[in-house]
Formats: sequence, C-alpha cells, structure tokens
Amino acid sequence: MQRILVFFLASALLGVLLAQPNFPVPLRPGLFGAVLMLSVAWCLRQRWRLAPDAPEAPERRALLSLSGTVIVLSHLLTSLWQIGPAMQLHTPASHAMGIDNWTLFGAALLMGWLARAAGPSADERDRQIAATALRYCHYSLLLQLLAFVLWLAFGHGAVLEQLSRAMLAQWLICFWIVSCVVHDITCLHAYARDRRLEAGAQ
Amino acid sequence: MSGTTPIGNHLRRLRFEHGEMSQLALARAVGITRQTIVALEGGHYAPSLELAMKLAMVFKRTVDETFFWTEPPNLPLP
Repeated sequence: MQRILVFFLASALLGVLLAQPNFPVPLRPGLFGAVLMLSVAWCLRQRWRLAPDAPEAPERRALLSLSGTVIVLSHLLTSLWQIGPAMQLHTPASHAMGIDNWTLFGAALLMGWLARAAGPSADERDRQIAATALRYCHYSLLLQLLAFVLWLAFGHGAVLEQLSRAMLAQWLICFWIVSCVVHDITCLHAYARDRRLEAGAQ
Repeated sequence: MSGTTPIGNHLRRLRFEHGEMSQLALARAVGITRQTIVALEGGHYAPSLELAMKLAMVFKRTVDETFFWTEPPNLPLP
C-alpha cells in the first residue's frame, strides 16, 4: 500500500504543479509533464526488466494508469479551481487548460503502452480482479453522481448560481476520472495483497 | 478474490518434484502470471476448471491428484 500511496501523492503533486499559472519552465506545462511522465515510465520499464521479482504486465499497467489518471485529474481540478465556477469555453485560460490536459491524457495513454511486458497481458485472475475493480468504479461513479444531483437540486449559495454549463461538463469529466482512479487503486490493492502473501510465504 | 478458498493444491510439492521448477516457469507453461501461481499456492485463489486441468497436465497428473478439498462442501446426498 505504501507504494500506491507514494505514486498517488507524487502524481497528484505533479498535476498541481503543472497547473500553476507561472510555471517555472520555458515549455508548455502539458508538454513538460508529458515528457516527464514518459521518461519515468521508460525508467520504470528498464528497472522492471532487470528485477527478478518485477510486477507482471497487469500490475504495471494498473500502476502507470493510476499515476497517469491522477496527474490528469489533479491538473484538471487545480485548473478549474483557478478559473472559477463561471468558466467559459473560449477564453485563453480554458484553451491553455484544454491543451495541457489533453497532452497529459495522451501521455497517460502512452504510459500504458510502455507498461507492456513479456508475459501474458492478463490471466483469469487478473480479469477477476479487474471485474471487482470495475464494480467499485461503477459504485463510486454512481455515488458521485448522486451527490452531485442532490447538490444541484437542493444546494444553495453563490457558487451554484454562478456555475456555467462548461464547468458542469468539466465536473462530470472529473467524476469519470475519479472512478478510473478507484478502479486502479482497487486493482493495485489486490496485487499488493499478493505481494504480502508472497513475502509471508518466504 | 479475498481470503482462503476451500480448495487446496499440491503445486508447490509438484514443482519441487519436477526439477525444482520455478513459479515463473510454471506460470509461463500454462499462460498465467507468476502472481497467480503465488495466490494458488497460498490457497487464496481457486482456479477455473480449464486452468486446473492445464496445471495438472504440466505435471502429468489428474486434477484430483493436484487439487483437493480442504473443507468439503456439505452437499445433500441423492
């Protein structure tokens, strides 16, 4: 679980940093983040190639997928926070957020490709783990949507009145990404339990 | 997915009887990941019939010789 937490926090921190308005690197934050993500994924791939007890392809995929989705999510949430509830689509800030976020999303997809390994891509147990993770993913999406619907229906306050349609759409996207994060964490939790069992057996 | 299953196996012993076959070699022989072999040997995963038959076939045994009940189910007899 420690490794999952480290990956989660490091990825969240990177996403937040990339969304800062005065990003201290002379490169588009999204592009810088994408290069960094792919470099880390490539380094991990090289390390896993040499390690005898390296995780197999399904666990690698889940780990890199978690990292990628958390970066995209934290970048999106921080950007939305900075833009504010009255966000409009065709403004410089929204365009910058869109370009950077889609660049990071592309890098997250490529990270999954870099996670491939020599062994089987998934076996029956991985599919069972993935099915359980998908169930939790659905529950989390339903819970978020339920809370959101209730807030829209019965919520009060200035923020709710200022919410633009663009912002509502972004929130729905965030809910979907959060449910993907839940999926990856559920998978990784199952694989972490395997590792504990293996350590206990030796 | 969690806890122990009522189905045990002799995989660890069979691996050692077959030239100390590694978990990875067995996993690759039947097309699964090493983690699944770990879970099977630890009694934390009950394989499908297809996988059970493949594993038994690797050691030239029957499924009954490879897998066994640790807690037989209480089924009503006909």
